[in-house]
Amino acid sequence: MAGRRVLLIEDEDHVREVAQMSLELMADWDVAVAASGEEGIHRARELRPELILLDVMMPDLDGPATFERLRADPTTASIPIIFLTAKARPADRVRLTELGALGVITKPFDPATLHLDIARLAEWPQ
Amino acid sequence: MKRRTLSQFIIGGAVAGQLVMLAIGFASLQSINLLNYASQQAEHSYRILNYLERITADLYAGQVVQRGYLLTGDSSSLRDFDSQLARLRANVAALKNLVGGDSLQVRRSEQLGSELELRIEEMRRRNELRQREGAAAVAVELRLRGIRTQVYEIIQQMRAAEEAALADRVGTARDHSVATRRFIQSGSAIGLLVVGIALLIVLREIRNRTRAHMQVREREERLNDVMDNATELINSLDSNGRYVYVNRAWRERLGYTESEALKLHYHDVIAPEFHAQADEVFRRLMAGERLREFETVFVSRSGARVPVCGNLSARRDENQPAITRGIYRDVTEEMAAERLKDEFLSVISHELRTPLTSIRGALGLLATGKLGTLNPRGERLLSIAAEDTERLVRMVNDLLDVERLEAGRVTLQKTAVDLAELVARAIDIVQIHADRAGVRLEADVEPVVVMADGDRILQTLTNLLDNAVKFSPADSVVRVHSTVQNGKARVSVIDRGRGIPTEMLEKIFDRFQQLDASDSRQKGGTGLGLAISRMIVEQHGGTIRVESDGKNGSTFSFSLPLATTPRVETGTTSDGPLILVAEDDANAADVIGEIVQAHGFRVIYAADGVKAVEQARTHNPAVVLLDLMMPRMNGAEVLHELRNDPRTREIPIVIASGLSQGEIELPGGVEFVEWLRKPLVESALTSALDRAVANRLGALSVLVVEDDPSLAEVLCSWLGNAGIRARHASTTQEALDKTKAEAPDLVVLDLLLPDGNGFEVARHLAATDHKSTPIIVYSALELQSCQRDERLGNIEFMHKADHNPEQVTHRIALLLHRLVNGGKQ
Repeated sequence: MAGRRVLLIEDEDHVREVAQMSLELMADWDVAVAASGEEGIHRARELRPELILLDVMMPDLDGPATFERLRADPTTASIPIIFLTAKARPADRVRLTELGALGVITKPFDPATLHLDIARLAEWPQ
Repeated sequence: MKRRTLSQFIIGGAVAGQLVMLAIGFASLQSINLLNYASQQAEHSYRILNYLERITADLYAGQVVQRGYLLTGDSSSLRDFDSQLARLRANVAALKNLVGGDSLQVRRSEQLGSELELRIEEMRRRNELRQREGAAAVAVELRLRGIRTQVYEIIQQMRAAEEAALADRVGTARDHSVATRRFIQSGSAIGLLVVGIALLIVLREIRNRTRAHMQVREREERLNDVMDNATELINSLDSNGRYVYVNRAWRERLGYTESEALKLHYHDVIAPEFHAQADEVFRRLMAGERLREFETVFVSRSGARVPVCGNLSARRDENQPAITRGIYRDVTEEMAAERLKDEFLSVISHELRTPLTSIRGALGLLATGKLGTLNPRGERLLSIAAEDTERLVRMVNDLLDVERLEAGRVTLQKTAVDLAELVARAIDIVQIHADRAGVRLEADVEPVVVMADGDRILQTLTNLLDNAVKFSPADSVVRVHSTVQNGKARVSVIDRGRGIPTEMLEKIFDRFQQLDASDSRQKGGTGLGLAISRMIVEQHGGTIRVESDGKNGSTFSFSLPLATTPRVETGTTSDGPLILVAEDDANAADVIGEIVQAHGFRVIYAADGVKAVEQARTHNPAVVLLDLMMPRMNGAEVLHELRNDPRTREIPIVIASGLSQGEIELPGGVEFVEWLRKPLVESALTSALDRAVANRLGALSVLVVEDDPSLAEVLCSWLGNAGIRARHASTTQEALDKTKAEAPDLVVLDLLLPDGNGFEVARHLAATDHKSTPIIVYSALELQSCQRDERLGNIEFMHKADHNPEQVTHRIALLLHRLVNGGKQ
């Protein structure tokens, strides 16, 4: 499972740092980060990651808008995307899943098991 | 107006019709009388004519009898002759009677009588002639003289005259009856016409009124429908305060039937503790005021309390007693929800604090490195945890603040504070953030003194400066600037950040309003800072606002009242109690001096013990504030000196020392009033001075007139704490009784009392020989200056929102001191 390349798009510095550290330390993945939607789209095109972790609430370009842009671009259209959100109501989850995301992980996540949750949703062998 | 002319018209028509009928009736009566008279006259004429006929007939009959005798000479044929003559005479006499009214006919009937006698005479003579000389002689006589015919002529004249009169009378009667008939015919026609028109108008009017009545009823029913379907409790009161209307929601919520409700007075429905307030409100309504969002509590028939909030108004028609109408919202659930929210917030905040404290502590311990060192990533994680814990603590504190400020549980401790100093302290606090962000802080603030709660204004300033720094680009300047205008100081915090769009300017002071959702996380704010700042400034009686063109930065500014009203807070320094500050540290003495003066005391200083004793002897101060460690003569020696000199023996002494009582030995038997530990706390210092001042006031007493038992208790405790004897009255009547029993030296007066207005007590004092008794009106009422009746004597006003019991007590101590010492010092 080691060495998988994922892109984390998250505007909140502390959350981004903790998630990155969690995935690097626990699963030894290669984690690229972006602090905004625009930057994320740019990095995704450039890096072609195996999976994108996308925060929902962000200034300027929010999660769903970033999602649409990634889907519309042929170079990134096929990359699976998992949403990260603090909005844990079932209706929010359904809405995000219906967009075509692989899944939704709610905050606060457990840094010790975050990589397991992602692998399960992505159906990666563990 | 139109209605009035119409009814006038109808009445006019009826009167005209009746007049016409009356005229017709009168004319008919006249006509009948006339006809009656005419027929009587005609009958009279007929009787006369009848008599004339009879006379003629008798005369002819007499002539026939005579002619028989003259021809035959048979005297037996003259047998009835005399009786016939006698009848003739009787008839002529009767005729004469009958024509009594007509002089012409009377004359003719007299002529007739005399002519008849002449004719009778002629006949007798000729009968005698026949008897003596025979028929031939009579024939000769007849041939020669003929027969007297005048009688017949007269009869003929009389008949002609009578017939003419008859014809005349009958003609007149006929003319009259024709005229009368015409009059009756045309009068009836006119009458019928008038009555007909009037009838038509009345019918139309009745139809109109019926329609109008139906419309009114329809409107009434519709209104009732609306009223009864309303969820609000709606009622109307007459000018005596009795219910004249209640809607269905009202009846159902309070459990009364309509007929029961209409027997009630508003005192029966409003909870007793709100009666005084309700009376006041009712009076204001009757005076024509409107009230919005009036809060009170109704009590239902079963005794359940129903908190309501309503809009009230009064309707006053000309010459009609006023009706007041109230539309109330049942706020039971609103209040429950509000209370629940407050409780929730409060519980959450407090419950959050406990684990936060331990998290903060644990992280802090880890950060010391005593438990082993972490690699850089570990260090980073630890600092992230620590920083976000701090943010959570700030947020919990802010939430608590908002909740307390909104619930009005924050009492501002307002004192005279130096604005420039507050700004300098705020800049000190924010400086670390500013340095980190590369933002320079500059202040240009006038050294004005404002009335403010220093800690709260510091919080506001820090909030505004923090925001300004957060949204400023590196290498820019945040400037704090102040202006003074109209008794207020305005402080502006000016940044060169991205500015605020116009549509956000209004909302920015609301809770959780950031420019966009991520701002709080990016910048570490809670979204409550500006809301808190606004509440703080507004509680100070100031305003807060923001200006921005949406691009080049923004300016947040707020105003505060200047401390230029020394009347209440600082008193007039000229006659405040004199405090001798014996303190060798010049800086400490300055600070103490400022605080003490700000509270209305006067100050003299002594920098050593010898000077202190001298000053005390010369100036006889109200209190000596004594530092124990002084050059030349230490505090203990000063105490000894002062107590052994009759001139200074009674002066109360407050000791201010870095040591606590018992850590230093003082000469035995030396009395002092207070012992204060340094560093001095402002409120402890002023209340100690108050107590010391009160110590010399002797048996002065204060009457506290206040109906709220808790507040009265607190106020009396504060007074007791200051060594001032306080009595309490909770009603106007009790206050008057206690004033009569023992005249107070000062009165603290609440205005809204259960049995009337506090001013009554003031009037009583003014009317008796206590006009100079100082009165402090301590009320929650906002009084306009015109309502402050200065004639009532020596009155000061302190508002409950602005002054806490401690401040009132301090003011009382100053006033009593002035009362006792007059202009002596």
